[in-house]
Amino acid sequence: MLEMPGMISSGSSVEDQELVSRALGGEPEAFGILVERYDRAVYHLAYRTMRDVEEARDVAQEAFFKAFRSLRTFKPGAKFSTWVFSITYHACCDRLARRKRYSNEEFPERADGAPGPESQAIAGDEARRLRAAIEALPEKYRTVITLYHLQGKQYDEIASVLGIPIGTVKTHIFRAKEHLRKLLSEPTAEVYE
Amino acid sequence: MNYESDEALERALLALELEEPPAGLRSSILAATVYRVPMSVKPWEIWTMGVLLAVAVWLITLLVGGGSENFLRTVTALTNAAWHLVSAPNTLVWIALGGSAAFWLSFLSLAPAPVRVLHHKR
Repeated sequence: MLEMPGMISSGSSVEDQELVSRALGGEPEAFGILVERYDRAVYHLAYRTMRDVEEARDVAQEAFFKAFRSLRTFKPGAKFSTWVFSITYHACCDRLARRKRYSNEEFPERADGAPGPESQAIAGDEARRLRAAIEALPEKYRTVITLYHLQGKQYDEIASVLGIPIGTVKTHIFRAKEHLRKLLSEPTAEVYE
Repeated sequence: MNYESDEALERALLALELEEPPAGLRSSILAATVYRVPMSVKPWEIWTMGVLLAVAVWLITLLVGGGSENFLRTVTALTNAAWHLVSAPNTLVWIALGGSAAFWLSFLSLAPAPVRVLHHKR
């Protein structure tokens, strides 16, 4: 499997388990190492799902707070990253549901490449272009592609985070890539505007 | 760049840098978790202390206001009422039932299994 900068190495799971055990054994500082290890990824997932810096920040805090409080429920042998991503994703879902309930604002599934905050940026840089294309994806595809990015090709882990079957994850990733390809094949101006 | 091939798109996706979190995020998470000062007194302890304090204030008021006779009469009435309540057969049956249920429930383990603490040999 490719080891890329955005991915979290699967080799860290044993150490994570040990850190959880140490935190439960009366060493809360061990949880601090887990925070250092995953805060950026958790924020990234929250930001990609919420598309709002402040809300992503709140979700990241909430996710770690919940994880710390319910550390005893963490199953031995499970991956800490999957667990904390799952908490993050559910916190995002709660906030999105609340946002829809208390606001008249519509949150359409944006398959049409509508502009997000980043998409205002001037094109040219490939990474920025790709980010803008991801941001233009509908929510379910955006989240699945973000987790694909964070966890590599581990479909079972992605399915576990989202609480959906592996087959659905594969379908979503396939469709997300199709969307991305379509968005990226369009002239730059069309992706950003 | 051309993303027509699956491999090119995948490589670009996996190479994408993560979003930069806002400054202070880590410290605020750590402050809310690892460095959070735990409450030294449990909520039920606060309630118990509050009730005991209220009873003490009430008894002192009785003692000061009505003299020792009034105080003794009140304490005796309270003791009698408590004794009457506890000595009633129905009450005793319910106490016994509650006690035995609590006893048997204490054998059940409904809490999730805690993570095993690893000890390393040095």
